Amino acid sequence: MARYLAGRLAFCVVLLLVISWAAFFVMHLAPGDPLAMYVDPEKGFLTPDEKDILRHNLGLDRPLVVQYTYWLGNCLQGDWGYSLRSRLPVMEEVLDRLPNTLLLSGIALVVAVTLALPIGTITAVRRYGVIDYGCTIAAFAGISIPSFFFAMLVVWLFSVKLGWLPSTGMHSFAAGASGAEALWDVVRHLILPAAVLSLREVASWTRYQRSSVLDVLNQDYMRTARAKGLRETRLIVRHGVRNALIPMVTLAGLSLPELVGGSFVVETIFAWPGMGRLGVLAIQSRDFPIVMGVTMVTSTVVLAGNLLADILYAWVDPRIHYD
Amino acid sequence: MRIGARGKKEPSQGQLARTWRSFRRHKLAVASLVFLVVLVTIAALGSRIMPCDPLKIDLKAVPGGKPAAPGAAHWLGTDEMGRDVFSRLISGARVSLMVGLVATGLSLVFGVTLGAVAGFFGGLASSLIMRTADIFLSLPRFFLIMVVNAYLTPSVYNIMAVIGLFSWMGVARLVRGEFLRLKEQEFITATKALGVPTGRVILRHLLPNSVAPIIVAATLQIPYAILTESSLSFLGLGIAPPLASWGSMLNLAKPYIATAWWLWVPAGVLISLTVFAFNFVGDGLRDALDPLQHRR
Amino acid sequence: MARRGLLLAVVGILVAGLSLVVQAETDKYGGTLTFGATAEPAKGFVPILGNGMPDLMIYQFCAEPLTWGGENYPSELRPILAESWEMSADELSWTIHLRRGVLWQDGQPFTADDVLFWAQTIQDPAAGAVYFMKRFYVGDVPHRFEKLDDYTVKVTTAKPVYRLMQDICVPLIPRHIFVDNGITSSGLSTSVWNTQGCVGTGPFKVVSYSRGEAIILERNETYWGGRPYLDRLIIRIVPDADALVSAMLTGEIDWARLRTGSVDLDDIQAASHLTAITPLIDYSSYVGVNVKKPMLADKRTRQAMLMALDREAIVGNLLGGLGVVMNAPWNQVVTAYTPMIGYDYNPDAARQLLASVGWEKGSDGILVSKNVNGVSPGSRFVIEYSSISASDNLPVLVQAYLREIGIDVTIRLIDQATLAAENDGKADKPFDLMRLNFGYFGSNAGAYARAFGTGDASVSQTCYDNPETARLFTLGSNTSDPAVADTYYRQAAEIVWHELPVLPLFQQMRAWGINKRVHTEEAVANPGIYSQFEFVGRIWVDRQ
Repeated sequence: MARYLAGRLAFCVVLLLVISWAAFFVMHLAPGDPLAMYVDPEKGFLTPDEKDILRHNLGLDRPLVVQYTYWLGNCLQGDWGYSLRSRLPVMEEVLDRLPNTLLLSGIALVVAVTLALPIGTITAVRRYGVIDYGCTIAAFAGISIPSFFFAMLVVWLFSVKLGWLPSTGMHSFAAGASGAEALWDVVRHLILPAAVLSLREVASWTRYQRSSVLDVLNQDYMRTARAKGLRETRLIVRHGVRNALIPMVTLAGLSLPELVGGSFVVETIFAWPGMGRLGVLAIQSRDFPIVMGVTMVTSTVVLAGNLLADILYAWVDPRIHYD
Repeated sequence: MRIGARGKKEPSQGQLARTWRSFRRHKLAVASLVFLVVLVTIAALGSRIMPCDPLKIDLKAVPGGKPAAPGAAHWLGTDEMGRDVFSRLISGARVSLMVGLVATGLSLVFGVTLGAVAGFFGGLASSLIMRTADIFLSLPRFFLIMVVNAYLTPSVYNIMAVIGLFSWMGVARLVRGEFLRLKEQEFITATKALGVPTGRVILRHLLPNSVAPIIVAATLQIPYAILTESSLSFLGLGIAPPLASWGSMLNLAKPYIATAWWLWVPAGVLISLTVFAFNFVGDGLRDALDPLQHRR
Repeated sequence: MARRGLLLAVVGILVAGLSLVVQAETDKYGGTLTFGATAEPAKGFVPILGNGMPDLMIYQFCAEPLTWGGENYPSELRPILAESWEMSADELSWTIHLRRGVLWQDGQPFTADDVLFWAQTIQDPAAGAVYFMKRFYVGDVPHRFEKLDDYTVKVTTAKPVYRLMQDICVPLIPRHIFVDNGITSSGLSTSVWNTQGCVGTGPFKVVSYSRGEAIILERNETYWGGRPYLDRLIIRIVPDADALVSAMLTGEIDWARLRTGSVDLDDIQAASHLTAITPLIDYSSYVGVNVKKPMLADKRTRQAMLMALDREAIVGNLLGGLGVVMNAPWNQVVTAYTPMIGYDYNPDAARQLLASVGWEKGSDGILVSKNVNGVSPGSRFVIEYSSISASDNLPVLVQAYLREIGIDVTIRLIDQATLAAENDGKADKPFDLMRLNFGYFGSNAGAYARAFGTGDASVSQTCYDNPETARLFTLGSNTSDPAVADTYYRQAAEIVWHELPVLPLFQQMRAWGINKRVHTEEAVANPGIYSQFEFVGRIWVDRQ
């Protein structure tokens, strides 16, 4: 197990290096002058002289390989450089937003699991029933509706028509709200984006849960247990759900890239102050240091998620041994 | 049992009929297929059945730049420049379907080629290709597509290429698996022993026998491509105006969520229905082509 | 008795009235005003580093320049931290007398040392004050700033600089803060003073900044211009324009800039507690035309293109009427502005003009070259419009109108960074058409030299390199009397208007939504960048 882990970790590190290298060169070789974004789009432009000064100050006039080496060296020492736009440390910018993204994705993940597990199990137990068909169609619909359209629908219904929930941001304007009040405020802002972000996962995991419970129900030991007269509900909960949990864990790990990808769109629509939105803005403005920071952090999160899923998998299912 | 597993090159008439009978039992899949056929027909007829020119601007119809509500002249109203929404939906269908089909075609070309190489030759080539697939699969794909998009001028063609480039991994894995399985079968061993050239073995024997799972994978790949295109267009990174895709129509409708439903609800419903239909057809095909999996 | 009673009554009423007045007077003090902004300060809080809307929004409250008079401020020069100034007889030096008794917000006095430090920092390339650095130089020679005494500064320039006081209208920065904390020029932009909030001399001081949320400013009790009325001023960062409007409707935000067009304006005007002001601003939109491309090289072609655009209809549709059609190469803020005639919407005249250039109608309605100079016969009139936003409707409208006269325009979606990389600094620019905005150039037409008067396409935003306009702009900038300079600029304007290196479309109005509880009667409206107010300290609010 330890050897396997060490190997996996080493692979992750190599992968991160490759990603950093690729992202750095792709971003820097892409056509586009970051200095263009230095000018307020409403106000004039920089003269070539002014641009030269700026380019030198920002270190953009050095050869690319040198820039990358600097970046990597500094990065390893914990210095990720400064945003070209805000001049704030990248570390600060990214780490400021990481918790918000993790909160949103985490809540979406929890929502997805808590909904998918029972629904998937029920549809498996009552297969070919009305509930099963209904849920199957709903699950397909959930997979099919684009997140941005679903977002517009819920905004229209809950923000515009009913006025129940805020449609953008993370905090409302009531400054200096007390602890509980502030928490409730964040929760209200979380509901719509989390619902939109989890929709796809709820839908697809329901299907997986259904088929893995079906698998378990058809196993011999279940037939034996049933023959022994154990009560069905208890049986399903004790054996069915527990065994079906195993693929669920992997699935959660594997869905991370999807979830992170989804957060780029969802955060942009709901103006959620997270890393996805930061990344989208940074790509548009060629803010290289920020793009690098976001790329590295999201990749790390995704890889760590995959690794964690594997470890959990081994831990949940004692039959699996990694050598 | 899979089609051709016993060594036949092509599925026989009987098998096709059996597949169709099996598919027909899946009522939603049949309904979805009908919907898609209608949609493709409408898209193919295109300008011949559009009530208006989708690019025709009519500023007089929209005083102050306010979208005109649905009425007799425009069944689904107009946008803020007086363009007919219904006609734009039809031309959007063309774009969305074309992107879905071509991008999927590209991902099939990449995926089948790489999967075939990996599956047939194994060894270094195989591990190289499969590791690359692992890397691609473990990355935030949408973010990467955006980064690559920054490279290229957004256009329908670039979007197809980029989506194709980032979605070959599933097919490659699938084809490799099929090849590994088939390679061990007697008829392949036999052809190899007879000295049939490698290319011929792959093209004439291995590929035709893996066609069923590839078809299913392709059917499920199309909605992914359509969704990705519409997401990119929604973020303003997709196709260039004045052309419309369903995603870009939703993007332009953002300021009008509260005031002009006809600008965004029909387009959104169409994307959802199309993706829904492809998913169902794919599901039906899978059941029909793979009786073992059917209705467990 | 009755008389006495009457007298008493009158006195009573007077006293009551007077106390009411006094009451009203003192009542102006206090309260909080909440601004809504869609963007955070991009360059930070040190005012010599930034020159964009979000940054200036904050500087106007907390920092002050020597004079108002540059492009961000009113056109006519007004003393702020400088009380007076005069030019020497040889025109090569200026003596500036500073205002006495001004304190920085941390209590330190403002003196000539601050001015010297400020000028040296701007002149130091390492500081990155790119927007202003060149204004403190003549060519490569920096202006020399000398301290005559604590409140007098002498500035010597290599050549006469007639608009020195306008050029150097950059808010001051406190020497003691940076020297005491050991912050060098190169560390300026990443120092906490830039990222968290700087000390200035303005009526409000920054007390906290939480990124993505809000900037909170409080009254500067020691402000030289009188104690400001407001207790607090909050700038809320609300990136989403819809959220901004709904926050105005609920009263959470008192003041915000609205989107162009009628989208927001209708909502604001419908609300009883809100009002909108829509001043004409120093911001105009053009279609940039590449005059180096053979198809677009003939000025008659460009004239025809402008005549093909129904600019009134475009303003109505695109801006919801919040703009005026331009009738000069620069807008009405410019002192050298004179309305000119021509180019009314007339597609038929445009077609005739194109025919005279040598274009004839092809079978699909698109023009084909018959004998256009530099264009091989049989070439179709197909050009590209580089657009930086998929949701920008202007290119779509231009495309439709030009199609009417047989010009086929393709829209090429490209991001701003790439567009700049392709074109800026190049004599040979690849674009055909693109959207061009000239914003906040100020009232001095000399600023338009960078568009119309460089005589060199590689340093120009356009491809225009007419030596004659370049000569006129140079003459203008070398003239001490602004009125005389304007005569040169008017001559240049005539040429530009005739040759149309850009297609002038419209000058925009900006819509502000304001809560009616905000009183701005005593603060003078500022026609500069903010179209807000000069004396922000004299804005007050009704309180419940």
